Amino acid sequence: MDRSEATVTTLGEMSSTRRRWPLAALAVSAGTFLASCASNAPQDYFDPAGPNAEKIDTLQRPVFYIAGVVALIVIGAVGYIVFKFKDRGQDIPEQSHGNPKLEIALTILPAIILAGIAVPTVVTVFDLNKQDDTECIINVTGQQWWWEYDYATGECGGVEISQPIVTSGELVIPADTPVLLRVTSRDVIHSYWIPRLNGKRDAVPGRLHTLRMQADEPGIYTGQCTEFCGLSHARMRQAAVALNQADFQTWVDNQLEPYTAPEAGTLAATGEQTFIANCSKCHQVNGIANADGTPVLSDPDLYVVSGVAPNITNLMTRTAIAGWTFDLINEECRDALWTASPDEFGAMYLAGVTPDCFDEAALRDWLRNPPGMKPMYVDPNNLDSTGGKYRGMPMLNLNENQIDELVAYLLERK
Amino acid sequence: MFTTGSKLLLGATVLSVVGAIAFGVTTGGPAGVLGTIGLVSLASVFGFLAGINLYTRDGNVAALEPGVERTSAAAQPPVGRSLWPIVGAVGVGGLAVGAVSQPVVFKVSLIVVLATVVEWMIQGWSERASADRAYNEGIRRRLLHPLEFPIVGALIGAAVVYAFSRIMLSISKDAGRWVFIILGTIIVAIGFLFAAKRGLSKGTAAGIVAVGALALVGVGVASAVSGQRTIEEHPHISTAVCLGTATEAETEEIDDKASQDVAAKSNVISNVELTEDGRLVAFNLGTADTEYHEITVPRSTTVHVLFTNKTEEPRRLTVHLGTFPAADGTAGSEQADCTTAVNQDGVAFLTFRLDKSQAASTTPYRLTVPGVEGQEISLVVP
Amino acid sequence: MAIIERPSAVPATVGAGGTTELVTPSRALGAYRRPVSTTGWKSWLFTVDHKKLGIMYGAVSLFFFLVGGIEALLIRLQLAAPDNTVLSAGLYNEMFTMHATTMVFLFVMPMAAAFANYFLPLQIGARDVAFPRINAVGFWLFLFGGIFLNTSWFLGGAADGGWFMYSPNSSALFSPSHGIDFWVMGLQITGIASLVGAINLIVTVLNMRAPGMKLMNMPVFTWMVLVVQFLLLFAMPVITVALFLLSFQRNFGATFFDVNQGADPLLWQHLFWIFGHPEVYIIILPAFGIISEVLPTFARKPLFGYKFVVFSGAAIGFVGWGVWAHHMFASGLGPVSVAVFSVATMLIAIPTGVKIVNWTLTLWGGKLWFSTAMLFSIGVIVLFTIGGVSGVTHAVAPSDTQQTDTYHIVAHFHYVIVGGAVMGLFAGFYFWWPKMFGQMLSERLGKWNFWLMFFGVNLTFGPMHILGMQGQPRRMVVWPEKLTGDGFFDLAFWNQVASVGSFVIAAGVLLFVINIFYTAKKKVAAPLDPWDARTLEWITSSPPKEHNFDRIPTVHSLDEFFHRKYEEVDTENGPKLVKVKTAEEVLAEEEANADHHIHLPSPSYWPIVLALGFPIIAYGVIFNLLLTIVGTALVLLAIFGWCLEPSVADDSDYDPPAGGDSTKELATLG
Repeated sequence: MDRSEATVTTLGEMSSTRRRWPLAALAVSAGTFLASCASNAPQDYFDPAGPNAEKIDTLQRPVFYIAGVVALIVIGAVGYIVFKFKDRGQDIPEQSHGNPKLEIALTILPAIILAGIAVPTVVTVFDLNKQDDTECIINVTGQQWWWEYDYATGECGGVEISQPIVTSGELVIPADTPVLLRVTSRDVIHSYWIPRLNGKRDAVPGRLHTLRMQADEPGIYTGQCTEFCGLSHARMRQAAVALNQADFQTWVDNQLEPYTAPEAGTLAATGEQTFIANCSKCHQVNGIANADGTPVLSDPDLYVVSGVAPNITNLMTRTAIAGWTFDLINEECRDALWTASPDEFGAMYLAGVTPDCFDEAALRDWLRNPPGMKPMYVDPNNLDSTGGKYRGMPMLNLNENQIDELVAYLLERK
Repeated sequence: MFTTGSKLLLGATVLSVVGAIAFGVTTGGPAGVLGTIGLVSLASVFGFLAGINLYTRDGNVAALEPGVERTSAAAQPPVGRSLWPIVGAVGVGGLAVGAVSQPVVFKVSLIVVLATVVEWMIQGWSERASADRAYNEGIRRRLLHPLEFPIVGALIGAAVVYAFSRIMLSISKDAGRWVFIILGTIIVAIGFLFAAKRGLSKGTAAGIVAVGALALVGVGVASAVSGQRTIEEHPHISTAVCLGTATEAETEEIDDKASQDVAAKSNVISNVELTEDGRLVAFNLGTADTEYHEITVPRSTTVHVLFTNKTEEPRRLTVHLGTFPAADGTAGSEQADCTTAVNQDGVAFLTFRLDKSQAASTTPYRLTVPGVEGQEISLVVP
Repeated sequence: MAIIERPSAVPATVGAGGTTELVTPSRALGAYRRPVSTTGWKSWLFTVDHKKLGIMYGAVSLFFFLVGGIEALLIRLQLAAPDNTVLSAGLYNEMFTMHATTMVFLFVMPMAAAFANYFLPLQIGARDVAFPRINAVGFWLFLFGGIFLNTSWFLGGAADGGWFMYSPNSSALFSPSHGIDFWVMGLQITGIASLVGAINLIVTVLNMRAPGMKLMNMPVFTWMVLVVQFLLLFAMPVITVALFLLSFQRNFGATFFDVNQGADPLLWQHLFWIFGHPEVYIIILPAFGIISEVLPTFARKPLFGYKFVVFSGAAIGFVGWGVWAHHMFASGLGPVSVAVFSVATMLIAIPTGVKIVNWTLTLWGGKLWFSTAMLFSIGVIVLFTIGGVSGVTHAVAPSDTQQTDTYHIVAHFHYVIVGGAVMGLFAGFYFWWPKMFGQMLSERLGKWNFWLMFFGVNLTFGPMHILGMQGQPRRMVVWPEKLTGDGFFDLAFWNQVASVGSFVIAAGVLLFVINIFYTAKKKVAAPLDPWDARTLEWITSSPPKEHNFDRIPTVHSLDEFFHRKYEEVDTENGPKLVKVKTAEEVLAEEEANADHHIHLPSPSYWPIVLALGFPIIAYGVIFNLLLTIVGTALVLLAIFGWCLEPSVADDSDYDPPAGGDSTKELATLG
C-alpha cells in the first residue's frame, strides 16, 4: 500500500513525539526506592527499631525490590518498543493474534514470583501473631481523640506493678522486652500505630485485638491514629517510650507514689481547689481529697461521650497533652529528647517537664479554649445529639487567675 | 304495549302503593311512618324497574327499532366469564363472619372486597371500551397488570417463604439441616433441567413449578397446624440468682446449648475456668498459659469473658458489678450479672462493662461462681 | 419492548358485523401519547436513544469530574503547608469524603457508562439497547442522585465519614449532621441506575449481537463492559443492603452496628468491601477495554492474545470477589483470614499482569502512530504498572499493616484510578470524539493535555509513596511540622510537590475542556475513518445515524471493519496487507443495501418523571416523611404512565420524509 493513499482516510501525519517520557516514571520509581533507605522522618517504617517491625521490614524490602524491578522492566520494554516500532513508513504488520505458548509462559512467570512472595508472607503473618513470649501486658484503649494506657497489674519486664497505672499519650514500655498491647476502643474505630515498632492494629469497640511491641533500645517512637475517627483524627497522636529496666522501675515507682497535696498557702494549693471545682468531674488525680478528707472521684461516664477523660495524676511526666498533640516542652528540649542517645535517653525522659523545658503557652491556651485548639465539636453549644454529654474537653470559661492557679497545681503533678 | 316483564313489575308497584296506604292508615306511631316509607320506597323501585323493562322491551332486541340490534349494548357479544362476583361474595361473607369472630378474617375479607371492587370496575369498563374483545382485554391488562403482578408475586413469595419458615420451625434442628440441603438441591436440579432442556413447553414448566409451590405451601400449612418444635426460652437471670441468694426453683435452669452459642471467642479479655478441683482461674489474653486471679479491665469499656466449667456440678459465672449509693443517698445494693449455668465442659459467654473506678464502689468488682466458696477473680478497674 | 413493533398494518376488526370503528392503540388511550420531538430540548429530555443518553451521561460525568477535581485541589491546598487553615477540620472531612464519592460514583462509573451506552450497541451491531426506556431511567436516576448528593453542601453539610463510611463513626451519635443521610440516599438512587443499566447491557450483549458476532468476536471493550455489568449486578445489591442497614440505624433507631447491643462494627466493613473491592474492577475494567481498542488501532495490529485478555478480564471479575478483606488486614481478623486473603490478593495480580504483557506485546512489531489517544493508552500501561506493583506490596499482609491508611495507599490507588481508569477514559475521548460528534478534537491541544496530565500524575502521586513510607497517615486535615523530618525526604517538601502536581493535572484537564470548546467552535468535519479503525462502530456515518446502521452488518471476524478494508495480497516479497477499500466504500456498500424495515423505540415522557420521584422520596426520608408520600405517588404515577403508554408513537405522528411509503418506517422518532 502506498503511504500517501493511507492518508486519504487517516488524519494526516502523526506528530512525532521525541520526548523520553518514561524517564519521568523512572525518576519516580527511583525516588520510591531511595525512600526505603532513608530514615529522616520519625515515622519511617523502613527504619525498624524492634524485632516486629524488623520482621516486616525483612519481608517487605525484597518485595519492594522485586516490584521495582518488574516495574522498571515493563516500563523499559514499553519505552524500547515505542522507540523501535514507531511508524517510519513500514508496512502494515502481519495481523497475528498472539502466541499462546509465550502467553502461558508469561502467565506462569508472575505466578512463580508471587508464590515466592506468598510463602514468606504467610510465615510472617503467623510469626507476628505469636504471643507466648509476652512479658508484659498493657491495655490500650482509644477514644475520640486520645489513647489511654492502663497497665495490667502483675509483672512487666521484671518490674512488679502492684497498683493499676493509668496514663495517656505516651506508652512507656521496658526496652528489649516483648510487650503485648490489648487494643480496644470506647467509641469509634481507631488504629494504633508505632511505625518503627510494628504495623498497625485497629481498635474496634467491643473487640479486643492484640499487638506486639518491642523496642530494642531506649528512645521515643512516635505514631499516629491511622483509622479515620472524626473531627480531630489528625490530632490523635501517640508515642511509645522505651526505658531500660532500671529506668522503667523508677518510672513505675514514680507513677505509684502516693499523692502529695500542695503546700498550704501556695498558688498550687489554691490551684488544687480550682481543680476540684472545675476539672475533677472528669479528670482523675489519684489520691486527691476534699477538705473533709473524702476522696475526689471523677465520673466522666456521666459527662463525656466516650465515658473517660485522661488521668492526670502524673501529667508532667509526659511531654505532650491533648492526644499527644500540644507539647509541654519547648522545641529545643524536644529535639534533644528525640535525638538523645539510648544511654542518655532514660535520665532525660525521667526528668519530666523541668522548669527549663516547660513551655506553658500550649497548656495555657488549652485551658483557655480547648475546642479552639483542637476541633472536637461541630457546634460546642449544641449537645443535643449526645444527650448533653461532651465530645471532648469543653470550654470552661476559666479566668486568667484560675489558669495561673491550675498551671501551678499541674506543674507539681509529676 | 306493555311487555310481560313490565306487567309483572307494574303489578308489584301497584301492590306496594296499596300496601303503603293500607299500612299507613292502620298502623300509627313511628313504626307506621317507617313502614310506610319502606313500602313507598319499594313502590318507587318497582316503578323504576318497570320503566327500564318497558324501555328495553324486556331485553328483547328484536322487538326494538331496526338498527338497535347492532348499536345497543345488549347487541354486543356477551361478556366473558368473570371470577369477581363469586370472589366478591366470598369477601362479603367473610366480612360478616369476621365481624363476629376473628378480626383477621374481617381484615382479609376487606382486602378481598376492595380488590374485587377495583378489578370488577376496571373489567366492566374495559369490556365496553370498544367492540373488539381482544383489544378490550388488552387495555384491561395494561391497567391492571402493573398492580396485579407485583402484588400477586409478593403474595406468592410471602406464602412460599412463610410456608418454608413454618416447616423449618416444626421439624427438629438436625432434620432442618437436611431438609434445607435436599430442598435446595432439588430446586437447583430442576432449574438446571429447565435450562438444559430447551424444548420444554411453558405449560409443563409452569405445571412443575406450580405443583412444587403448592406442595410447599401445603406442607407449610400442615406444619403450622402441627405447631413448632419446643424452643427453649431462657428467663432473664435475676441478680439474686447471680449472687446465689435465690431459691432452689429459680436456679435449676441449665443451658446445655450455651456452648453452641458462644461467639466472638477471639475477642475475650480472659478465659475463666473452674477447674476439676474447684479452683477458679483466669487465662488472660496474651498470656494463655499463666493462671491469674486478677484481670485488669479498662473502665467504660465493653469486655467479654469466656467461662468454662470443668466440674461435674452445673455452674455459672457471676460478675459483681459493685455497690453504689442510690439516688436518694441510701447505701444501694450490689449489682451483678451472670451466665446461665452450664454442665461439665460447658462454655458460656459473659459481657460486661464497668463505668466507675473501683474506688467508687463499696464492694469489690470480682468474678465468682455461686456455690463455690473461697474462689474469686478480682477485677481491677483503675 | 426493545426493537419496537409498529402498529399492525391490518386493522383490528369485529367478528362478523365488521362495521365498528377501527381502534388503534394510541388513540384509545389518547392521554398517553408518546412524545415525538426530534429536535430541541424535548428530544433530549424524553429520548430513549442510547447515543443521546450516552452523550448526556458523558456531559454530566464530566461536570462532576470538575466538581470532584475542585474538591481535590482544595484538599491539596490545605495540605500544602503544615498546620494549614484553608479548610476547617469538618470541611476537610466533608471534602475528602465527597471527593472520593464524586470521583467514583459520579465520574468514573457513569463515564464508563457513557462509553458503554454509546458504543456497546454500535460495537455489536445493534440499533439500540434491549430496554431503551430503562436505559433512560438509569441516566436520569444518576443525574438526580448526583444532584441530590451534592445539595447536601447547602443543606447542613456533606457527608463526613469518608467514602468507606466505617461504622460506628457513621452513626448519628458521631455524625449528627444530615450529610451521611444524603450520602446514603444519594448512593441508593445512583445504585438503582447502575443496577438497571447492568441488566440492560447484559441482555443487550447476550441477545442483540449482529449476525456472525460470536462472543469471541466481540471487541474487547464490549467484553470488559459485559464483565463489569456482571460485577455491578452482584455488587450493587450488597451495598444496597449495607446502605439500608445504615439508613435504618441512622433514621429509625436500628442497631445493626451498635456494640452496646451486641453487634460488631466489622459487619459494615465486610459488607462495604464485598461491594468495594469488585467496585475497584468496575472502575478499571472499562478503561482496560478502551485501551484494548486504542492500542491495536494505532499499532495497526490485532490485540495480542485476544482470548487471554478476555479471559483474564473475566478471571479478574471472579477472583475480585475473594479478596475484599485485604482492605481489612489491620482490622484484627486473625492470622488465618489474613493469610488466606493475602494469598488470594496476590493471585489477582496474575490476570492483571497478563493484560499488561499483552498490551505491551500488541505494540511489539507494530506500526505505531502516536495520536493523543495512543499516548493516553501507553500512559495507562506505564502508570497502571506502577500502581499495580505497589499493589503487590500491599498484598503482603504484614507489610500492608505498615502501609494501610498511609499516603502509600493513596499513591497506589491514584496511580491505578487516575493513571489507569481516568487516563483510559481520556484515551476514549480522543479516540471516539470524531465518531460521536463528527469533529476532531485538536491533536495539538490533546498532546499538551496528555503530557500535562502524565507529568501531573507522577508529580502528585509519586511523592505520595515517599510520604506514606515516611509515615504520613491519610485523611489528616493537618500534618505537624515536628514529624516532617528533614533532608531529601522531608514531608513538607514532598507535600508541596504533590500540591503543585495537582495543579498540573488540573491544567491538563482544563486544556481538555478548552479543547472541547475550541473543537465545537472550529466545526471542522472529521474524516469518516480518521484512525484507520478496526471495529463495527466505524461502519456508519459520524455521528452515527439515529438507527445506527442502514444495514445490520454481518460479522465474519474479530476486527471486522479492518478486514473489510484490508486484504492480503501476494507480492514478490511474500504476502502483504493492502488496503482494498476505503471506509467510504465500505459504508456505501452497506447503505446501498439498507434494510427495509427499521424499527426504533419511540421517546417517552415517563423515565424522567419516574426518576424525579426518587430524590423526592429521599428528601422525605431526611426531612419529612410526608414528602416520601409525594415522591412515591410520583413514582407510582410514572409506573402507570410507563405501562399505559402505547408501545409506539401514533401512526399519524410519523413524519415520513419524501420518497414514498417504503421509507416511511425510516423516519426518525427523536
